[in-house]
Amino acid sequence: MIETRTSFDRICMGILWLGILFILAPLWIALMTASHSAVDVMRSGLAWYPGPHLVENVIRVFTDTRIPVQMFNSLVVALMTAVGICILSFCTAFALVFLNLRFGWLVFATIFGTILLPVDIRVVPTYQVMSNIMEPFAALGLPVSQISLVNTHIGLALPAIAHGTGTFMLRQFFRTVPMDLARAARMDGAGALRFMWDVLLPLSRPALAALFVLMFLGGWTNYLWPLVASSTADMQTAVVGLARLATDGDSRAPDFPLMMAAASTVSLIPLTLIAVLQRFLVRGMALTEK
Amino acid sequence: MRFLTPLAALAMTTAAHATDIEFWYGNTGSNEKAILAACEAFNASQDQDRVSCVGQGSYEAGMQKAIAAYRAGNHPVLIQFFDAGTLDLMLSGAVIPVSEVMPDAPWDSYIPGARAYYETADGKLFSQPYNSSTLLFYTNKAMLAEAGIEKTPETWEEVIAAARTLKEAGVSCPFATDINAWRQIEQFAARHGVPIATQSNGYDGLDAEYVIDQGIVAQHMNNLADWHEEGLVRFDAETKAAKYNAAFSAGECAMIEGSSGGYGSFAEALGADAITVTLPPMYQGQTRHNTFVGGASLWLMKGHDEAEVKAAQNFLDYLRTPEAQLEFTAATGYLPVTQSALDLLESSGRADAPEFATAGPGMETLGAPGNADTRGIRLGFYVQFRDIFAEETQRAYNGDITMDEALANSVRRGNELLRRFEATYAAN
Amino acid sequence: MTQSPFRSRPMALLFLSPLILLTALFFYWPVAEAIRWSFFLEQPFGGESTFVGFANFRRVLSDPEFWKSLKLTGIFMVTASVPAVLVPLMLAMAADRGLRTSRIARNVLVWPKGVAGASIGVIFGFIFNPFVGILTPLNQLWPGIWSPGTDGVDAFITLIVANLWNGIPFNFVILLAGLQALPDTYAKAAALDGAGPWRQALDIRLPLLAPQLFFVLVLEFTESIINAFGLIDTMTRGGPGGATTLLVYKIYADGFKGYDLSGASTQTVLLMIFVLLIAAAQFLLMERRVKYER
Repeated sequence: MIETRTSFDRICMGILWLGILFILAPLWIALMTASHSAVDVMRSGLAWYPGPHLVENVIRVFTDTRIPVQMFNSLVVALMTAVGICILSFCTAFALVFLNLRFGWLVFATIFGTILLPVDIRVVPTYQVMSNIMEPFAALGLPVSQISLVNTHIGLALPAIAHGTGTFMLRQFFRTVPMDLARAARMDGAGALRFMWDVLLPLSRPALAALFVLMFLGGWTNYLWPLVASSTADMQTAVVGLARLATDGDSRAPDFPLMMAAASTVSLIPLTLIAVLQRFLVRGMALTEK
Repeated sequence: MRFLTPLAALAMTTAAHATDIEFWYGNTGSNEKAILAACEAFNASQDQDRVSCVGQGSYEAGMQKAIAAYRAGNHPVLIQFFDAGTLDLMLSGAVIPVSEVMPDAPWDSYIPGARAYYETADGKLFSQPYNSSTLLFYTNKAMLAEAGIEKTPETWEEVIAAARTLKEAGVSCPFATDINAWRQIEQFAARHGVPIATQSNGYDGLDAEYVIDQGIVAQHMNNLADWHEEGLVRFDAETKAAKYNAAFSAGECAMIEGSSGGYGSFAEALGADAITVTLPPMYQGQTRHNTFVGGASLWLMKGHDEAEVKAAQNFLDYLRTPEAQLEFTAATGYLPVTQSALDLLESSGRADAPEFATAGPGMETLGAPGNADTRGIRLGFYVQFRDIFAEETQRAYNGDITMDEALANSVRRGNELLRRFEATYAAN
Repeated sequence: MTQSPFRSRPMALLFLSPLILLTALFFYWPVAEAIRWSFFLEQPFGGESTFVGFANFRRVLSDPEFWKSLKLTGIFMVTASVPAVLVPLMLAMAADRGLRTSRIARNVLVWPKGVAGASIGVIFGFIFNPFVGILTPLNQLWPGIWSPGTDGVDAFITLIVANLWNGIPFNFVILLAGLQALPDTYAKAAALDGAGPWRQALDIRLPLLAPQLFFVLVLEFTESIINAFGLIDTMTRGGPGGATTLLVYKIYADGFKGYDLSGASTQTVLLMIFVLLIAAAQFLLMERRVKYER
């Protein structure tokens, strides 16, 4: 039996290393290719070992492409998304769980509906609405002027904010908070707002951090919506800019080292975030399941 | 904040005496730089009007955004649209024909091949041709010479004979092209004087039907499939550079049929002396007609006051000047398209300069005699048809279906689009 | 659950209205618009629009291209989801052993969460390039054997591998959490009965994990449809010859490149129905499954 255990463990270890290799190999190849010259790569294929051109290629990403300003856009959009979701879903989930609404279930169902149909599926009409967000009000006969949020930071973030996942997660979390806490606060003469601020918020910090990390990563890695909702290069997000870099070669041969340098640069911020805030990310993903 | 721009623009128009207008364009890279330079030059040339030129990232994105902006009523007065969107715009009711607004402008100076594309059957010109290109034939002199070919091929028969020689000499990619309908059927049918759809490619009515499954077009497509099978012709994905024109730049492929706009980067990569640029090949015994103008043109949008329209006209007038056209040509490789610009090029003595190398053959093929079927393409949902054509012929080149099946499928699916387009605009 | 002691309608209104307003504006209104346009022939520039009843639906539903891309969507859902669940399952069961390696694995295996589908599409597009990529030696031995640019099956495989890479973190985390929440008592009893680690893993722990397994599989179904867009747009562009034109990509192409508002809206409505049907099926199955399990 001892023998089968060690052989089992050996196989487990083998599986894990294979998994790690599968995850790291593409990233490693991207980074190594980014350190070679375009001519070398076209001649001898992808690179497994470092070359002398990494700094040069990264500098080219910063001088020859719009990736830097696009990374700033990604940062703004991801932060807006994450902060917006944290605040709105905290308020919404609080009202749903602690304010005894008679039609709470209806509100919840309304918001839950958004989870089933993400923006990627309904991108065509969402684009039309975003290019004229006052239309529903105009349809109601209100005297409003037209406002287009296409190609703006806020327009890039809004469809992700108007989404129920955060509310759903926090609601599940709030329901695990003992109601006695609320009752005790009430007994001490605290109002709902006071309870929310002094008791619930500190308690929710880990959950909010988890939500924040998850939504920030989502905001950074979104593709279809930013692709259609931003038209100018200076308003595109980094991921869109990277994809355009790969397809807009025009009549030049593909510059793989530049692309790989850009891919590495674009993924640097979220990967650092993951490395540092690993705990929260894992907890956030686990929370989605509950 | 981007969404404040219309408000800010409004505030500025009322405050200053000058008229500010916006112009949307889709180009990127060196072409974008040339457009911005033209805007700046216009603004510097007078102080009555100011045009701010806003890039939209691509032709498709520009059109999409213009549609949304028009529906919301915050569109600019002047927009650049690409060739394939011509019919959508003509029927949109959102544009004013330039020949109506500016009846006195010298429209006759435009060479017919460039003008007819944007003109209705009864001679109403909708937009002003801007960045104009057409199809040309390029060869890599050194690769041909190495295989013992001295004369630049002129007919398809010669091209394929040269391709066989090149292949025997060990060239892995004798002739490269892509599966785009613009190259494969539009320009091909035009210069052979045949239509791709009835009703003169839709000029004479919305009830047109595709005819690419017959005649010389179908024959040529079958030939391409055979030549591909034989290893003489390669498509984008089969070249190391992943694109036919990049493969030419990299010296991988010996011959291509490509846009006149590509000359600049070929000359930069291989040297202007190392390549030839000539008229696109014909089949032996066929009469050469004009090719279509590709690229994009400038459209005046409805819903703006007189001052703004006047400012847009002034900008159009400026872009039409021979000097501005030559400036643009030199910077981009696009073609000058008025007789006066050509005359200026001739008299300036720069006609032989490398930056104008495409002007000669470009003008010759655009200016060749035409007929009713070589005016242009006037077919609905045409952008979608180009995708269908590419998809179906790709399957034929892969051997999944025969080329005749691919063409029949394209015709069937294309006709469905045309019928739906007809129904969409039936109310007009 | 017991009642909360608080009750304040104005406050509730204040807290709920922002998100409700946003969902109304950016979710329910677009959905309603898509449904409305699917009954009209809509001119792109908003001129006349003609009410056509169910004609758009009749046309789309009789269009072989629509069914082809729906079929491809279904094929992708299955062929991409199964490995995207099985591989993380193996990894989670291996990591559950608490070996030294599993600490590293638990860190590294969530990294892909930070890499966008489109980014990894660019990277895998390069790695699988037939001329300079990792499989180039194969092509030198047998020319043309690996050609995602012209062979639909090869192109499909690249999408599945990239989707697997992107899907590992979530599925791995959920399955590992599920494994670690299993009570020890079963394992101890099994060990007393003389069951080796293989038996324990396959006969005891795996069946107990069924709810989580089912959960990630059904989530992966919808997830794969959405994630596919970024991969397709950067790796295959729907080709070659339409072999990877899934419905999400077709809608994008029709709506944003073809300016076909009515056609794209009709297909959007059908895709929404398709997704909702899957969700309903999942929900029903899950209910029954969970009751059965616990």
